Amino acid sequence: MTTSKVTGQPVSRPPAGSPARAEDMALVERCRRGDLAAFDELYRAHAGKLFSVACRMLGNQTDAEDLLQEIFLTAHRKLDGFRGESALGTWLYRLATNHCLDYLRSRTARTNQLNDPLDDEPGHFQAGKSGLAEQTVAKMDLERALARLPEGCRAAFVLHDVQGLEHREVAQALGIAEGTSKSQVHKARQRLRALLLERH
Amino acid sequence: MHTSYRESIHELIDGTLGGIRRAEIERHLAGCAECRAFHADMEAIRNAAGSLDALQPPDGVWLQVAGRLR
Repeated sequence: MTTSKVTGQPVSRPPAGSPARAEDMALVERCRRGDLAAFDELYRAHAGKLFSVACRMLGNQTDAEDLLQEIFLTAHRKLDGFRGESALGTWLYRLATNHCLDYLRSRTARTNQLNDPLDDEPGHFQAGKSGLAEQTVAKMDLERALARLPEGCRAAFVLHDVQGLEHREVAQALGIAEGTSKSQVHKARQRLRALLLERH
Repeated sequence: MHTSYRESIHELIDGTLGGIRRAEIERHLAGCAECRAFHADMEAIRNAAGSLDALQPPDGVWLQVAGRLR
């Protein structure tokens, strides 16, 4: 049994015996044999997605660049443990989000930052307040609001609503139950609404 | 706002709601302005999130990674 970095609760491993991913496994096998061109191929296929996640999780491009290096060095070291139980991309998302969450927690410990007060309360719908749908949600405003979300629901939101993963894949990537992924994404949207309306 | 409809509204946006429940929610939304506004806001956020730009790391990141693996 492992522990989820999102909820801190024990979670089961992803179900074993899902279909083998022949292409992933072939690429991984070449990497395991020390073929740097194969690892370059793996990097090119996944670096953009993982960098996008890291930037949005950390809210800082320079930190995301440093962390991306560590993510791929760790991936290279841990490829022996990849068994194809999930897609390689999902396995890498999990590695990346774990790195991001560890980084955020150590940064919080270093700076003694407190969680946003929104952490315990989903954004409440305020009747009578002008809605977002009547305006365009500006990308910059959304990026800023995203950085203020509690880290657990931020991770689920980034993977689901920004990166387009299904809840099943988000659950695998974060080591949480599918229902938890749904509730985290729903909370994130409601908190974002509250944060975005503060600006208007 | 009818909070009991909240989860279903999210599922409606995600396209994961079954046909019967979907029809029920759509009927409710037609008659409830607050839930309709909530639905519109959640959909606006989801659409904006899906349109955020994909970011690319600078080439130097791969050079650093490859350098440390050689």
